Amino acid sequence: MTDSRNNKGAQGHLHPLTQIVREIVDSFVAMGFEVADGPEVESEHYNFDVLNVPKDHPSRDMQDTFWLKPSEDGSPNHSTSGVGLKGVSQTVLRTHTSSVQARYMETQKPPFKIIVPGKVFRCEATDATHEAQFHQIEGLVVGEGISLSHLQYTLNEFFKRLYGTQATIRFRPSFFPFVEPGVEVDVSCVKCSGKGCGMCKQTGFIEVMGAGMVHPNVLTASGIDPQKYRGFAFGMGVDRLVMLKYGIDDIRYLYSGDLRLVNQF
Amino acid sequence: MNIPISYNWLRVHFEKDIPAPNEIATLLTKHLCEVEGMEVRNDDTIFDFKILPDRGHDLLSHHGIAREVSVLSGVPFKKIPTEYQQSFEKTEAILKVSVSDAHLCPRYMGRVIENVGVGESPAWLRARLESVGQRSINNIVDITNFVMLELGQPMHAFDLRKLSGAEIFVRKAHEGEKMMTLDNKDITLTPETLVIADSKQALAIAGVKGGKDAGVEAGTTSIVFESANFNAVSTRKTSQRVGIRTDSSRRYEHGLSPSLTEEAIHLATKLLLEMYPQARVGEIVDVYPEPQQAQTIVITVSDINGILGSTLSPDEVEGIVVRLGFTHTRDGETFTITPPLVRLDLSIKEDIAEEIGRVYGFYKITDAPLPDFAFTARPLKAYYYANLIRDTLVARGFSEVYTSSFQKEGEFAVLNPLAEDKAFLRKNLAMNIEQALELNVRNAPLLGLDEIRIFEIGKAFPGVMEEKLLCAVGIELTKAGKKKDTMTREALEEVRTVIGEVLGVAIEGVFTTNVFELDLGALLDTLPEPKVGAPFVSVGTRYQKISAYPFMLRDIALWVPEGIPNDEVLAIIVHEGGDLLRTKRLFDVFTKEFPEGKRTSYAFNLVFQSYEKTLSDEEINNSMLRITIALRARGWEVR
Ligand SMILES: [Zn+2]
Repeated sequence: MTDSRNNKGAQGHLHPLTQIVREIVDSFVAMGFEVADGPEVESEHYNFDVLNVPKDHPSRDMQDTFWLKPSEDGSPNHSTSGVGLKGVSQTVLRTHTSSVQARYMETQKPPFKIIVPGKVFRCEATDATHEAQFHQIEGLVVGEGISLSHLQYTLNEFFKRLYGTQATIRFRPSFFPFVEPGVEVDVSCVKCSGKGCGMCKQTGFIEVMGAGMVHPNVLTASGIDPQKYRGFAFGMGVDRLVMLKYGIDDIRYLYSGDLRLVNQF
Repeated sequence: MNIPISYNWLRVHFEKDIPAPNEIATLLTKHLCEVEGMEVRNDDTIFDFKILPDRGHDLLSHHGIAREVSVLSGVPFKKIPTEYQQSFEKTEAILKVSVSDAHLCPRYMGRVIENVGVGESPAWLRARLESVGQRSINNIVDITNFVMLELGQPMHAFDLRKLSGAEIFVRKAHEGEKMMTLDNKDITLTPETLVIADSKQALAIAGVKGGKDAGVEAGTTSIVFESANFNAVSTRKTSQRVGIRTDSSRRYEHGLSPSLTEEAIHLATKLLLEMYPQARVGEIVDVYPEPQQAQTIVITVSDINGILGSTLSPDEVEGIVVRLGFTHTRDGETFTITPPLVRLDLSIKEDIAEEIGRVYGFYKITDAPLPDFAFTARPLKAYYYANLIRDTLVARGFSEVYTSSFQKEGEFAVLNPLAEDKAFLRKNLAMNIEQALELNVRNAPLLGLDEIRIFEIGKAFPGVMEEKLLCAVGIELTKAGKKKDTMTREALEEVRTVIGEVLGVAIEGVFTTNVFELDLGALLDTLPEPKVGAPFVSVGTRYQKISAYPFMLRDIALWVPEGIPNDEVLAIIVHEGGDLLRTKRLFDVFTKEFPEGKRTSYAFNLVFQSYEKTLSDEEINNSMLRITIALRARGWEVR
């Protein structure tokens, strides 16, 4: 129940997405990671090509990805007729923060450790659990002799900071074009600590992110020698973590500008 | 893609017992893929496996899953036998096949089989199909479906009698060419579409759907079996274009190995011969201009351990390679590996390392702290200053909102918008903040606020290919009266000053009646590099569901003897108000001299709301009555 007296001079409220992003980013900054970012309007090149996503991969389809349109007045840089033209069919709303990987790698020499929070978009009908816009956090570490063991250590450290020292993670086989090997990361259920409950469907674990070793094609495309360097990458959806943590039942409230949600935080 | 797999069907591939269904589920979850369901049906268990996209070419089949069960459990695998007699009476028809585009159809195998019939399938075949949710059609169609579910290779059968001549053409459709599908859908084809045709007309959309005109039906006595390989991308695009997705097209979409067709046509032939031992079986016609080459991958044990962070010995690696059934040679710690042709997902070292790691178990990997990098993290201006402004505004009573990046009007249009009112990217934040102010003003009593103070920091798109980081602050003074606009402007000016003081620069921006918007991205260039990147404080809390039903307002005022704190009064109100009382707020306090002594007046706004329904006046009056009675019971005067 809201208990507000006179609100003049009172504290305002930080959006829960900001709060969780801060919590996550701070954990990684404490581990020596650098915060990086990139544009929301992204080229097909950075969003797909350099991430080893095949040219004809279904994720590039209009059913999954928002494509952007040139100006209506037909200004010289942009054609008016739509698909198939240069500079037109090549621009998307980024579908993941992974698009920042190559942008960073092209300009920076390894070793490095970065954490990338940001808004991403999928062309997907909205309902209580799906939004066409949501937030992701991407991590990328590239250096000599990096292995899956380092990824596991890093994520264990992170989840212990986020959920407490009892938190543990486990890897399961998975597939993403830009990593090889690819893994799904489960974290022990925050509610039952791994014993099994309704929230984790009795499994004791909750699926929280995709991760893996950076695919050599991605390193090569970004000008990094895969013979010399290896890296790991991981990506997680922030909205789901917010919803799980606070029991928010409808993702759409997060983007509605509604203080009935925000002022509870 | 998900696939139903029958436990009993899997068991056919083994001579010895395999682990129980729940053990299989655990084993595959750890080493292969997610198990999204498990259902006991009669004496069988049906699994719902979510096959990873890079294994769609070999695991959308009972054979493929059984191979994995064997690799992971160690129980030896046994192929379903495909051998049959090899000498037949000559067929009357001699099949000819011509393929016009080997890129779209890398391999086409066909064979004529005569002197057969169409009827009901034997009980075992019906049971197999039904166990995984397929309906039995007739024995010949059932055989092709069974082969697909067993081997992952789609097949098709044509009625030879209905073909004009025994020649099959794999070609692109003619502009405007028409075909009626088996389920009576009339399709007009376009020249991108690959079809299977006789000399006159299209008989099937390659890899997607068969046509009615050459379908097998009662009375069919001779058939052509098709076991072909079609291009993944072209099959997917065709399937989208004609709006038909089938179990066959879904498998082709993953890209199948052309090596699969051979085993499939033999299994189909064998099954048909079991039903019609007198059948005349024609030669296999195999159009396969560029046979698939096996991949050879060289990898060392150090490579594997380097990628996985494991400490596997060469013998352990070899053990896993042997279990996987990969052909290999070993020279010290160097392995030269040739995976089977169906494993299209394996072409580089990292693929092999993943395969070894998966079978070994990713969950067995141990932690290793990150090496001490020569890397110094630099703070990111955009992240640092955006959060500094957030904290500044929150401290001044502003709440942060996130709003949609899509708007009904703007400058930068989306080619495939979800809805008409989301056709553009937002050109600024001001418009969204105005809309958010309106929304929150409506809920002001529920929120217990007289003033709505909000802000957003985010990207906006003021022109084609333009992206800016903006910050917009909005104020709505609901109780300000006549001077409202002036007071709002003053408050917004104050915000500008405060941000300027915190950042140490003068702030330019755009004012509207209720909103001040500044170009944070442009401002960043003028700001010094921050010294630290983080942390910024975040606070945890508990969240209460938002009700979809309207709220109702009531006020209550009362006299209490001086010295009674308002908390004591509120406690009674909260107790009596129960779950329906959402918000309570003290809006007036004063103390006055009375003959019997000093008394304090408290006045509260109360907001009632239910999660289940729209409250009636009567329900709220009852709550108010309970509150009033309880307050009066203390001897206080409710006014
Ligand atoms: Zn749980």
